[in-house]
Amino acid sequence: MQATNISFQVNGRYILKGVSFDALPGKLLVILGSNGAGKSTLLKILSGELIASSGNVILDGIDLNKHATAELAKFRGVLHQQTALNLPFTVYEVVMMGRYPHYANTPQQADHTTVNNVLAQTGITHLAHRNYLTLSGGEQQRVHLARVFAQVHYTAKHPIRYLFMDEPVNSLDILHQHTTLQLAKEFAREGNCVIAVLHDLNLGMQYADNILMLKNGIMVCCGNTQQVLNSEVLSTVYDFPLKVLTHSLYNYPVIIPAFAN
Amino acid sequence: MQQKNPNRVSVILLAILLITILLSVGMGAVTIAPMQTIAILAKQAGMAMHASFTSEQEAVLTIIRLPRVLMAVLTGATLAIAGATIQGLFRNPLADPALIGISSGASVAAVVFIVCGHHLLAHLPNIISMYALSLATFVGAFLATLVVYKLSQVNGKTIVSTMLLAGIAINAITGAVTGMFTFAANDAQLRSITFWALGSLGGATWRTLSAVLPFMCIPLLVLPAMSKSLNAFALGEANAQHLGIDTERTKRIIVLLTALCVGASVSVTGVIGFVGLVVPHIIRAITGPDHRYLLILSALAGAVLVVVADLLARTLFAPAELPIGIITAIIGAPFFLYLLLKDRKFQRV
Repeated sequence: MQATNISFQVNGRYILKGVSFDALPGKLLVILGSNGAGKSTLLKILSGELIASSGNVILDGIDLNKHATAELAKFRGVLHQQTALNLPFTVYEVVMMGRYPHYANTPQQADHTTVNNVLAQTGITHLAHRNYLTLSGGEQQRVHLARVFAQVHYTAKHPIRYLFMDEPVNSLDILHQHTTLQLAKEFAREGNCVIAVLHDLNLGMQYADNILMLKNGIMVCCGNTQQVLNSEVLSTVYDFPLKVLTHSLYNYPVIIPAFAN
Repeated sequence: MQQKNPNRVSVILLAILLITILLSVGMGAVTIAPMQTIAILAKQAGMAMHASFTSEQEAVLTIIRLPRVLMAVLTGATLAIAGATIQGLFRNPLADPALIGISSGASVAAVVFIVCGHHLLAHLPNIISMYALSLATFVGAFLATLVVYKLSQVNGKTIVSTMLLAGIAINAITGAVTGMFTFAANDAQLRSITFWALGSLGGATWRTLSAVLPFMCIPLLVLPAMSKSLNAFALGEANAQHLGIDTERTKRIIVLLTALCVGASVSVTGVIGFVGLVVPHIIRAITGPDHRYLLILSALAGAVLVVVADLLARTLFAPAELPIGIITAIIGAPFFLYLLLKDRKFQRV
């Protein structure tokens, strides 16, 4: 997927300006940046919910706007930060909605199999027959995670599938923050393209293959986590002294505030 | 509440509907026993049965009762399915054809037609005059829906809250227009207008039934095919689109079809409130929110409700007839309040 020169203007003010990058299959790309940097706006443009003031997005070799809605849904899933669902569907029914692009009127055996697999994968099999409205916020978020995974489950016709996630771990506890990102990473490893907007720097650095940094609507850097990962860039982006350390036991980066109390 | 098997519920509802139809056609000034009704119908179909009946009973059944009860079935089914569809579209269980101005658009067209229509009708060929009122109410319903729909479009997307507010504005405008025409109306017309405001199935004949049949049957057959789209709409429009639903097309079809069936039902029966609001709520409580079952089961239950309400309307104070809208409001409004209180936690809008 290529995004070229994406700008987005509201009332003459730039929310995004000239953002260009490639998102590669097999890689988890994490978008980071301070509040109001334009992360969610960028993801909305990539998923077609907002139309960029200028620039274009090429997905699977074709301009995003030229994809047929029904076909696109078979290999691209979008997970929102919040989903307003006010009807008492069961968890199973909600996850089955992810299969809607794949069947006409009645779910096939393969759709039921996929849903059951995904429920197990996301660890919510025990919730399958619960009323969605009676779940906690974190559980509801995991149900929607399962729903998009059910949507972009393997299809022979589309070897590369796409998954866009806007702050997928926001209301999750630490266990499920990590299991969610592990699932996203595994999905990328299968040769798919995953883009996630994250808030938590440590989580982002730990799981990302590539990182895109935004500040005030402008792309500060985009590249391999090792390249982007340095204390100066981070401190500039967040206007806050930060230092990158490498954890002595587990060999992954840890970001800490760089000042003494 | 444990959800029931939708197939079993549909069989039960169908049985209840047949029983209420059989009872309803038999009750009134002339009593007809269920066996007699069956014998009369068999005779019409060219078969002979042992049960005996008078020619008066036969005439009452075939000329008066049968078209009226069938009209009740169709009206109830279309109002309930329209209500369920609109609620799905707006992701708001309180939405109703009356709420977003479809019904009032239809009834204002009917009122204008009653007061001004006789001048027009004289110049129209017979076949058109038969469909004229249905067409007028459909146009009224459609225009109201179109105005609400256009007003609520922002950057090619429908903003639901604006749509609801626009519906309130349409209701106010149509209310004012209806009020103006009641001033201009003569006594006979005033009676008709009152009838429209409160609803009645007294005008149902084979002729009026055939005039609205196509307008009601098309939505009844097509809307259930929208159930997957409506389920996806529950996740919000953006998510529905990500699930491959052409949301704009879905909205257009739903708006057109609900205007069609609500307009048709208003043209014969006037405004019958609460059916579209209460019936889907009951069905949701029994079999869950999946539109695959909700739409069809609502249509069946709506038919039962209106057949029973019409039976009460014409027998409670016989020989006088109560407007059916009063009956549905008496049954519907308290029930609705009960639902609001009980399900308050599900009403996060």
